[in-house]
Amino acid sequence: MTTTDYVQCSAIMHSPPTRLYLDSTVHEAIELLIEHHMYNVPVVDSKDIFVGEISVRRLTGLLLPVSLRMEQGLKNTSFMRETLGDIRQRLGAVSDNPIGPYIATDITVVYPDSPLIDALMLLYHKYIRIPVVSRADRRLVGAISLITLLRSLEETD
Amino acid sequence: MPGAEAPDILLGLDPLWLSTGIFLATYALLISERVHRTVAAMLGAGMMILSGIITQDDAFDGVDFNTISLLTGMMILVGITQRTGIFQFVAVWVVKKARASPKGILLLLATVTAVFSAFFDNVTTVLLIVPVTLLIVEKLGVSPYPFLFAEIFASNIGGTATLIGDPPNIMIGSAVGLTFTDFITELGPIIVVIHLAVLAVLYLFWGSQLTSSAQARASVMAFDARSSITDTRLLRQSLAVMALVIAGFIAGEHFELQSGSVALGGAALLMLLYTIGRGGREQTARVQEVLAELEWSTILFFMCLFMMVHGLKASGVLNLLGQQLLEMTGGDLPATTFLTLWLAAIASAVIDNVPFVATMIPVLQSTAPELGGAGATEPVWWALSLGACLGGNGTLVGATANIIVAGFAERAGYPISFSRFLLMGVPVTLLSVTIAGGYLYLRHFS
Repeated sequence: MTTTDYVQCSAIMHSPPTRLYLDSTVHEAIELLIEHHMYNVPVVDSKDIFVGEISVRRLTGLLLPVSLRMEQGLKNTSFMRETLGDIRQRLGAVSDNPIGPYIATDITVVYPDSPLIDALMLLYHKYIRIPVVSRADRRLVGAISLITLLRSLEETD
Repeated sequence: MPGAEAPDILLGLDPLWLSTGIFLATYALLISERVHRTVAAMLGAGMMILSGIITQDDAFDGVDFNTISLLTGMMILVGITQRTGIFQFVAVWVVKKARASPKGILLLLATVTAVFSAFFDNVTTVLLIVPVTLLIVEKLGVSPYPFLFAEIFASNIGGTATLIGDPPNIMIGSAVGLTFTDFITELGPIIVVIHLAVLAVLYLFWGSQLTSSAQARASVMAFDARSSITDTRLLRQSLAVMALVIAGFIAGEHFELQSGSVALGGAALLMLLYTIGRGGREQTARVQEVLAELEWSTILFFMCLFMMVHGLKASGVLNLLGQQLLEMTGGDLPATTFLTLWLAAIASAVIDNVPFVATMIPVLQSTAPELGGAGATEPVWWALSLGACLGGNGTLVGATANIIVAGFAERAGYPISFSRFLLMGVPVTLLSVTIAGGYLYLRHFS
């Protein structure tokens, strides 16, 4: 690859990407995010088909009472008094649950043959890491983040 | 210059049938919910004008601007007041007064919902009270169902008590000249009785399940209600303006000052207090923020509905319906009153009570001469108000507040299905409308 080639996502994507499975537990997701210092991880089914992602934001939501994280939920929480025990109790209640119900499914993806600019726009507007899926069957084939992009730039210098 | 001619009716059709067809088609759209209700009403009003049944000037004459002003003014007042955190403060305060006992919370939160609904709109009330309720029941580890049902029923029952509590009352008061004092003195006492009766039923049904651990109650008792208040200065201003507006409703009766003017005046004063002393940019931002939160689609819906009903009135359909009603009741005032009460309750349980009441007002007005004149027909208007507002508890789709609460329940993982709602809604509605009927009989006909 040279600096004058038109670049597709496949040229710079990180592959194979870190992933979680639909039946991975909340506890496993937390461990993985901490271990890899990641904000979001793609989630696939048993056939490696991309189904969504689990993020730090989603997992943080599980530490809140339902009425605070729901749409049109309580915004003014200054009257509440919470202990670490309250938070631990809520986390404990879901820790062994599979992550399936908590993943975000409305994730925009790119394809290996998508122009790199598509991924760059998504990084700018929406995501920290973008899943790359095969156009034919949505199998997860890679991931692109600002880090992978910067590394590619360094390599072509 | 030739004299003014009657407008040409589309294809030379009989205006009576044409306006009935437009009206029924609009109602069908409203019931089907395949088209937004504002769009349906706009189409209906537009067709009344385009088909030549009424002119544009007639259509504007048909709009009750007192109702529109009252709705708009109250929306602005509520929109600013809710920013102060007063709803959460009162909810948390009563929960602590109940010592975080689930039974006490059920009774007190339902009562707070009823009182707020009497003075603010029901949807805003449940939007602000239900999230606090869900938080508290989660902390207490009890089922949210008794609380959610109690708040739905209380919002519809409480809204019946005042002129400003529910849109049907605003329309009836404005059309017939019934005042804020008339509503609260005539309907207030019986609404208290109905509210307590419904709470007793809920308590009998769910009371035994309403228990929680001492530890859970302690976590709720740790809440600090005062911290809910986000802007003390604005709260004082909002409460002062609300008090002035209510005083204005009462005093206005003696000075021919209509409730719409009072509400808009209060809204203007509160907006002034909310923005004064701020920089030009911030004033603009605050005004735009408040106006952006107004339910413009609801306001337009009301205006178009009035136009459409005016078309129906102009073509003589509503007079005919009035005559049919009189034939059914033999021109007997008590019979007309009770028929109106139950008809309004049943209709409001299945369709939006606003278009129903908008249609019924001119129908009932046309029957007044046969029933002894406008003064004598007052019980019929109370029957229409009680039936239309209480009927909203009959089904899940009977009132917007019901649907809003059901949405919250679903998101919290406690869905309220149509049939589940019916199991509670039908007995509660039968009970409350029966009590209302007994009250009307004792007060006006015994």
